[in-house]
Amino acid sequence: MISDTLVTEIILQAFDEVNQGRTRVRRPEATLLPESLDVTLSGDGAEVDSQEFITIMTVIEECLEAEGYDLDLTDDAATAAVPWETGETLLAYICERLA
Amino acid sequence: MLLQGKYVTLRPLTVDDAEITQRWRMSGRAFLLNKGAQSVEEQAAWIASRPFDPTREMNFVMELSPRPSAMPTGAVVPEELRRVPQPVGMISLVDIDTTHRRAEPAHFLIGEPEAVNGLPVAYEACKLIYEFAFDTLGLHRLYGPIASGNKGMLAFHKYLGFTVEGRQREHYLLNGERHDAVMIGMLEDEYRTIALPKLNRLIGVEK
Repeated sequence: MISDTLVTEIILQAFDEVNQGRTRVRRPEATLLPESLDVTLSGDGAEVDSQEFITIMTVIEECLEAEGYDLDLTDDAATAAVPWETGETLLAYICERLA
Repeated sequence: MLLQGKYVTLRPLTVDDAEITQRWRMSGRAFLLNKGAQSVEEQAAWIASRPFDPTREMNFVMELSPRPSAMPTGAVVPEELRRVPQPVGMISLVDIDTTHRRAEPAHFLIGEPEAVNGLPVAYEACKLIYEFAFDTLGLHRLYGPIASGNKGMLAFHKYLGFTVEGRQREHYLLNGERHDAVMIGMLEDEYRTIALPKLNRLIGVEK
């Protein structure tokens, strides 16, 4: 069973990748995502765009795979559960799927 | 000619779009794209020089569709507002080759990110272009280069089902830095089995 702590670290690593991207393309006016799971990922008030959303999913899936877990965060089960609202809801979903 | 989706409509790029598209091209988000026109006049000249021809090249502007879900129940949207589409980005299909049945999706840029945050506009725009390429034009393959430093764009396309097919080393000089060209491609069957289902799910994601 995967730990909440590890999944939290992975999600924050994904957010950090987004922040690196924002810095890389010289968007000084863009605010960086906080080091917190309280980030809105989709729907009204989303703090990431589509490309950044994919970056987050990609980093999380790759990190989980490196830990020995195979999880598609946009498969049919995920689509039915709609876990992408915030970092917190994503954490809960990943832990539940990998329990 | 319009490609109509639920969240976004693709309509032909015209010279009237020179000012807004040139502003998009000068924004930070276009930092890792090929250097484009440096003035509105240059952009207008570039647009005027491009064909809109399904056997050669098609350049589109993404226009945000009205958002009925964002309106209160029973709200009456004024007619004038419903008829004022909001341009939010651009996307193209270039180097269309009807002999080898291939083309390059290009000029993919969300110019008004704040307007589309939380909406699956980028996914739907890609879906509309891919549908048009494979279903309407009957193409077999889509392909293109992405600058290696453009990690977000690369991840985006790989996630949607494109395969990395090779690299052209230090192919680009962008803002004083050398970047490889990462060559990506997607075949028709990969579109139908990987990209289309994923796009449909992603379009459902950000509602």
